[in-house]
Amino acid sequence: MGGKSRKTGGISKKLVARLQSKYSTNSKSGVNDKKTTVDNKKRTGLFD
Amino acid sequence: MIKKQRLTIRNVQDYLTKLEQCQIDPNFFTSLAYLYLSKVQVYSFQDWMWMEDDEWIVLPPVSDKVNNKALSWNKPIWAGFLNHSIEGFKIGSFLDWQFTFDPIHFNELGGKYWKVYRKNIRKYPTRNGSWEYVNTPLNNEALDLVNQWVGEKINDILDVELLYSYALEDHTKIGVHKHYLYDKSQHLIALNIWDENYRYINFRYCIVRPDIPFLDEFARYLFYTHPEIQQQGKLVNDGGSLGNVGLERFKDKMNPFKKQQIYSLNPNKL
Repeated sequence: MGGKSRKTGGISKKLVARLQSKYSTNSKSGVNDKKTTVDNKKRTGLFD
Repeated sequence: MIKKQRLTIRNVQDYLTKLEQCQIDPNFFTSLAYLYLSKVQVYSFQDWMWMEDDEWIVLPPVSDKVNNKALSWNKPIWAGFLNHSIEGFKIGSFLDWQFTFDPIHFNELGGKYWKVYRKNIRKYPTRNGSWEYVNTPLNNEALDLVNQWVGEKINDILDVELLYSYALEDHTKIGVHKHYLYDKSQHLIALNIWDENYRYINFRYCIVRPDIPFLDEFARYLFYTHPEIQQQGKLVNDGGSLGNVGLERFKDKMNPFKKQQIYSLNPNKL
């Protein structure tokens, strides 16, 4: 998922913790996803 | 003389335009968003253009002048193109599979080849009731979802910084799109993320709550059958399997339109 990396050695838990902290701060300050205006209808059909 | 250029949206777009003019079949990593967010270094020489990342040339260099003399290359190319060879390089190691799907095939799901997938996509809604699949977030739960998914797949995920950037920042200006799946209590349970190039939609991430069985199949089904995907008339490049046999089998069961091998390329002189 997401595609292969050019960097070797996998990802460290420290890096993940740093990212979680960074985006947690962003989220609190409203930097997270911007709302778009396209239709937002519930999708049904096959599963009604 | 080789020029190092600033990484700008325009520079990356210029490279992609050259690829399109040369009718090159783009691979999964060929998108404005992927190259720009990967913070590659952009280089040019006469009409040649390419991008580097540490010890790699990320994608094959391209020149739109037919008789342009090739440079002498001293770094390998990370991900080659399928219908394109380049003077000065030979085939290197296998990088990954590339699965391509036709969204139209997901409308019917008829016949024996779709039996397993057809059965599996019905399991989440049958067991869990109503759901909502929308292109605007209803709440601020994306970070929690990504954290859960990363925590579960920490040994399988590569480029985790890129993942967080795609999932949690607004990159609509460079062509990143998202759809959100909510359960009956309006909790976010899946996030589909894609970008595009001149030929394909690149299904970049399908991030799901790891503790809900058959949610992955259902979220992918919603992605492929959504009008925004169906109406474009493009095939979907779903990336590879990252050396994960389980993921390869999972994608095999979705009956790919094409399953091809992507190779790295080595310079002849190395």
